[in-house]
Amino acid sequence: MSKLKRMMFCLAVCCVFLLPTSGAFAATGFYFNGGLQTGNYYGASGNIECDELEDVGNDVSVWVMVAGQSSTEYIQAGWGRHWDQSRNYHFYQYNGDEFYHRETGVASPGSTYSYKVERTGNTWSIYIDGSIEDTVSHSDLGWTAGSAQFFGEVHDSEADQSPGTVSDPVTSGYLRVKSSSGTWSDASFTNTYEDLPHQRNNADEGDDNYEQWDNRYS
Amino acid sequence: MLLSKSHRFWIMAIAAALLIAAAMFTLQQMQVFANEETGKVEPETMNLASTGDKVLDEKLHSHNVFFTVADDVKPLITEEEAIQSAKQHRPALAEKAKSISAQFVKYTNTVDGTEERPIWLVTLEGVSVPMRGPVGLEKKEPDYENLKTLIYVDAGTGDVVELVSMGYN
Repeated sequence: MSKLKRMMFCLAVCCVFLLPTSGAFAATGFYFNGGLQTGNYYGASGNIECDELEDVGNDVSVWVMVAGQSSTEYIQAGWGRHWDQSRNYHFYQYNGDEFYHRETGVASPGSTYSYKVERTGNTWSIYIDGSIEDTVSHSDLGWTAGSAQFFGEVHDSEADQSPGTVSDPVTSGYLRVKSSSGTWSDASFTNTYEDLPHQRNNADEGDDNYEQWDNRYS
Repeated sequence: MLLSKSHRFWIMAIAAALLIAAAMFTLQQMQVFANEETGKVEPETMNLASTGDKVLDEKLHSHNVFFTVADDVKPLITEEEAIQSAKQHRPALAEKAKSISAQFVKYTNTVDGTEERPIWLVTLEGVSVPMRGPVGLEKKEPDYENLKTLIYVDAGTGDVVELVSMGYN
């Protein structure tokens, strides 16, 4: 093998191993911005501001959630937008013994909406802006709660704008959790997350509200 | 006046039958009252239209969603226009769907108050929206044998009313 060929071979090998870790390429996955509170909760609620999204390359959403012990067990409500949609939509979604997702109407940028998922007895109820949207039997979920979560989420590390801008962050306020005895109280984050370098928030442990934004958007 | 044994027997029998009928009527009324309390409509009281998938029908009913036969109204938009509207609403999902079909029905949701709204029920087979969270989620696609996305298109205006994605075994 000539010297030139050997050099080209080495360069190609370097490209294969180094470029994917260089951060120059967008990655699809699940990236979170916000906080959670661990515990066996029977409800989560909050008032979430809806904001304009400049770029949606995959999927962007903001929500409140009660999650189970595994990463595929949850019931949530909030607003979001898939890349092939032109507007933000209210949605609720759950996964457990079955998957169910429903989009009920347009969420307008500049407005703040209340979202709530709540278990009473054997029934979960989902509320958007004060109106009941659905009821789900707890047996259709088939799991026990392990946390209440309050996040903004993107699925493409580069092409999705994480909700909020530096000058106009998205506020998630009046975040509350419902205990298994049925009492609602202010949330108190036990963990906070900024999964991507440009995903920023002002959430601290113990908070029951926070602002989030994407550092790349002024 | 004294009644014969056979007259007494028949009077007793008729009285017993009347009592049983009254009891059954009362029980039925109590049942109706209970259903009104929970907001659930009994499927047997509606002229239900099947999606063609019995499991899907049952799951929709459990979500308080009922489709009924729409034989007394006519859609203002055609089936093709309804499918086109659904495709424009979610082009990527429509492109991935194994098949797309539409059915003209009336849509009732006993929880959110929607009552007998004429719609084209557009079904996208084999696709669903992605899962969103929670922290630690690694899988985007719901892991079920059956994936369906239903897009409700208003039969008068062609506007998309709502979208439902489901996964089940």
